[in-house]
Amino acid sequence: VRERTTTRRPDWFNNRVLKPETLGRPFVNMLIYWRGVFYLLRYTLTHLSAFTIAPVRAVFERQIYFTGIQALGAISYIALIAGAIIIGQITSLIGSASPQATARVLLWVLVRELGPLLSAIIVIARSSAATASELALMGLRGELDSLRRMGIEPFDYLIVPRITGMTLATAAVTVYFLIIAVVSGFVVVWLTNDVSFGVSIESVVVLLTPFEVLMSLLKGFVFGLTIAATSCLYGLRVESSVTDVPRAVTSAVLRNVITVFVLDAIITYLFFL
Amino acid sequence: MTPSDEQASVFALRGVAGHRFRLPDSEFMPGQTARITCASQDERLWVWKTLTGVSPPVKGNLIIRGRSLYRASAAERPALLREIGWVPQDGGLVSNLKTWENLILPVSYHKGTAAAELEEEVTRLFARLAVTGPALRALMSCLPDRLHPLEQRWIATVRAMLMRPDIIVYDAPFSGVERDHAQTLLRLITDFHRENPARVSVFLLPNEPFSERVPADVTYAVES
Repeated sequence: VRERTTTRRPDWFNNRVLKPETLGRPFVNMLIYWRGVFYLLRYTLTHLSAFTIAPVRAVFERQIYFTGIQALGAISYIALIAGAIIIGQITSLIGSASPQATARVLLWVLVRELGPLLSAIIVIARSSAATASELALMGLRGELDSLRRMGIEPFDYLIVPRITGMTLATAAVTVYFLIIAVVSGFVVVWLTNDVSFGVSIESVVVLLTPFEVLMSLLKGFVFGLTIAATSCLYGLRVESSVTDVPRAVTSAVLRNVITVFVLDAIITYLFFL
Repeated sequence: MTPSDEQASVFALRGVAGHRFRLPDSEFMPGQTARITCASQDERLWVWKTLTGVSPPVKGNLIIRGRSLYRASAAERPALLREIGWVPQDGGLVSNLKTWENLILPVSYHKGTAAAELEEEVTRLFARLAVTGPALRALMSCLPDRLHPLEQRWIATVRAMLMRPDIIVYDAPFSGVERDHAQTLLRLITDFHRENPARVSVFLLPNEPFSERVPADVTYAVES
């Protein structure tokens, strides 16, 4: 029976990538991952009452400070450079005579896609690794048990404020990124190509509908939720050994990058294509 | 044991046994001080994890104010654990919080007490441990990883005391501590016990000379 089955398989089936066990494991892992993410998101949503407790609010404020305020330096640098490069390239492609066309391409490329994506990548680089490793080490040191012993539910104290804080901070950072990128890009074009800064900004303002702004915010919000939940999930999964910590951190970062790109594609497909 | 005794005990162990060890049945009455002596580190760790519910025993029950810890649902368990002040040997501090934040975490979490209201009490308790002035200020701003194990134990003790629990369980509080420091800590613990006539103090003690100095109304030994 085995021989017959083997001979019936087409060549591509015997390819390592397409072996059933290789195909199955990533699929099951993906299901487990999404189940974990949705569990944490549902838990957060149903335990928002934890914010009535002062130490939970303190963790939330710290998370906003770490993910949002402390990231502003890195966000500013990258937004400045990205804005200058993208708008410079658009102007050199379309020419300086048509600020409306520049503004339109700018909206498509920067506001809809690259802005939210680059902001999310900066948040992943800074906060995802930090959150996953912090939670993993807390678990290994028995601090989660210590919290339980004090009658403090670790998810209420550690997860709810982290997920909400990181989500709101990511959405805010996305808006900040877009403002810096657009303004800096047009300043560079104004200085290098002698295109009026006022006219450029005006053409963007005319094209920028509330829908565009909402979509960027939605992306920032969704990316923030996913990054936060994924980082917490991978951090909490570490139970046995210190050697699992770097593995969890790397997995959290990689999974976040992949998920953010997939979600970006889905949102773009649903709302813009 | 009569039903009235059962009602009177605030904390009780009934047939608690693991694969290797067994705790004698015990009732802890208001005002009582009890020692649970352990012959080895393994025993002590098992008792600690069993009492705190981290590793429930194979059989038996831990009754806190008439309710079983092991049969409590996940939602009920925090409220039961909160009834007891736990003082772990390693401090059980949260590593990303400074000493002051660690100290006030449970009391501000459960009772909503403002930090300013606790300053006087913390200063008073640390003064009993001969930590005052600049030394206390320096201690309060440290992260747990920078603290000496003795300091971590002090903080865990004061943190539990700030909650003013009726039951307090100390895990080997004098192990590896110099005799003078152990005496000071014991005085603080004894005075804290006397503050409330209904308070129950339980010590998990390893087999070491200072353990004999810990005053207790009753002593239980873990059975292998």
